[in-house]
Amino acid sequence: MDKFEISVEQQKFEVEIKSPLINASGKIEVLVNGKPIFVKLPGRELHFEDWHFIEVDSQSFELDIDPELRWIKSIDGLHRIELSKPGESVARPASGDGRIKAPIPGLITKVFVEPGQAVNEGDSILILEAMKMENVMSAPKAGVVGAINVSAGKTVSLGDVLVYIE
Amino acid sequence: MFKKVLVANRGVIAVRIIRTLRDLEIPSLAVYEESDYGSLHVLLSDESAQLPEAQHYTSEKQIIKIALKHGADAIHPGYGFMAESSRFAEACHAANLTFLGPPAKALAACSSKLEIMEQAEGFGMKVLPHSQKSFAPKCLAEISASAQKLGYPLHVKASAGSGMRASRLINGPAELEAGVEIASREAQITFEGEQVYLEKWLTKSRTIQLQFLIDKSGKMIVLGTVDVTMNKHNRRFLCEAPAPGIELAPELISSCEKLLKQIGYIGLGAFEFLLDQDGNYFFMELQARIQNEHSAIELLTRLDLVREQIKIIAGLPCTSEVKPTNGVTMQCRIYAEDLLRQSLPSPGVLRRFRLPGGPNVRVDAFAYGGCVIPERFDPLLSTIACWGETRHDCLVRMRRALRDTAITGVKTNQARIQVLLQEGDFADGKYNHDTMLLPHKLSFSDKFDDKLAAIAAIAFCAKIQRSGLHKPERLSGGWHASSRSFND
Repeated sequence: MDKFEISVEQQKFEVEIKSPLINASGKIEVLVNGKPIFVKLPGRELHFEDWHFIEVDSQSFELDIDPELRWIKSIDGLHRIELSKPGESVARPASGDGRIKAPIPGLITKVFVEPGQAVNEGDSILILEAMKMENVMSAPKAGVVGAINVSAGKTVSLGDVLVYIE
Repeated sequence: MFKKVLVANRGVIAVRIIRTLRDLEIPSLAVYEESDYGSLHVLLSDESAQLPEAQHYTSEKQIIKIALKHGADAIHPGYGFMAESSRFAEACHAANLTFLGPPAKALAACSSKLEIMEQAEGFGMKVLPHSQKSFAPKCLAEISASAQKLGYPLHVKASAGSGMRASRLINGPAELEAGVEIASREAQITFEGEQVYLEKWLTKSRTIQLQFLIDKSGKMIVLGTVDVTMNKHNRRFLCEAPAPGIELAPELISSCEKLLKQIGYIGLGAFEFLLDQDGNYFFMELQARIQNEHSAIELLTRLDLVREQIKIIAGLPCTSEVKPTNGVTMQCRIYAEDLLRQSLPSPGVLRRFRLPGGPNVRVDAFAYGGCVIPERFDPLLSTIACWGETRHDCLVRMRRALRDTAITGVKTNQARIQVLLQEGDFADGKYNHDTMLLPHKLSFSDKFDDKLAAIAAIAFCAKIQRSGLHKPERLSGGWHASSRSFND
């Protein structure tokens, strides 16, 4: 069975899934840092976005799993997760590839940078106006500004790539 | 009192107002933009009228036209939108409609922050050092010079503004240009004026709200104080009443009353003061509308403030005496925002929407499972307020209420509130404006971590398997080396 490395809030775990996801008993054995944990899924469907409760070691948890697997919300708050195969770099944090995408549709009202400009993580890149507020979008990582696809006055749709940080 | 009231608003406050109208057995008329089709305020009102395309909740003429057409004799503006517009209040008056808010001239007096501050000073209240005039955003050189004189940190704020909208904290000269740009743009959208002014900021201060009623005879009733300090990204999200550890001097209350009488204020409203570390109160603004935080005061006083407001404007006397119960209330705001993306709004369709109940818990929501959270508007989904006999009781109850809450389909700030209620400065009752400047954890227990790791791994496998499900041999649940796709 496949192995993964998972971080939950900076803590790293080595996880190995020992049972097929769909099996007769409905329970899945998972080794987390060598410790066996038994998980019972709420159904036989693999639509994890719809799993709103799950039984782990006989305890039920209500939760909400991000379709992009960046986080899991449980009864004690929001847990950021990062997944990778051992030895590979982190699989898919939202911003790892340096593309700043529009998270909501809106209007670009100002761009603070130019192509070729060096930026640090957190520097203001542009302002996206939506839901009656001005939202400053910042650099997800340090780097050099590459292509800028927008300018002030441009309307953008959800998911449009606005700026590349290389 | 009134034969029909048009509610010129949407979302949480529109639902709130309609509920009181129902209690008063006054027919309600809702208006809505197309993106709010099916919204709860429309479903709960007695009648509704869709605004024509390209007309909005701020289309004065259109809304007055709808009111007249449907035989309404009063309009309740709620908060935001046109609630503090003296021009709209005048237009209602001219059309023989009662505007259920302060009189137009009182609104005009409150609409210029610099002028109302001067009036407040005239009645003996302290104000923070501020620029003597307001500026157009393009006058950066002048603004910069004024900022230099005042000293940092400071706020750039809309001159015609109210609340936290259209204001930004500026820590140093490097932040000034962007801050002016943002505040001015928001000022233009929300308050129809791009002018801004500068006001000194005090670190480790608190913002204290004083909610009041004042009737036509000029009699003011102090409803109570609320500590509204807690906010992030310019959105308030957690408050408590009474404001802990404070007592307003009778002279300050008397100055408030004089100011209200001077400008001819009638109805419901709130003063906001900045409280510094030495116990000085600085007048910040007079909010000429109902507050979002009113439910915290309602739990303490057992009053229906919307009802009191309507009664006063209809000419009935104020409720004769406010007897606050003992105890403490807290109220939080659940917003549709993405905590992992600097609280950017998160519109979408709600899946699960389960809100708490039980003793001493009060919920004011407008959303419901399956409804659309449109991208155009303020992302407030619900307020949740609790009463407790002591602050600790109230805190524990709030934890219970938030634990009972489940909202999926959009991202919310629920986790942020839960952590602040569980541990740290707010839980300890020792918070101020610096509290939220640092990043905070978004979860408060580490005991789930290995279980969460197991769940995450399974979800990840499920995702991979689903994407490979078109091949029949996958259905047995086994693995194939070719079932890649770590990237979507």
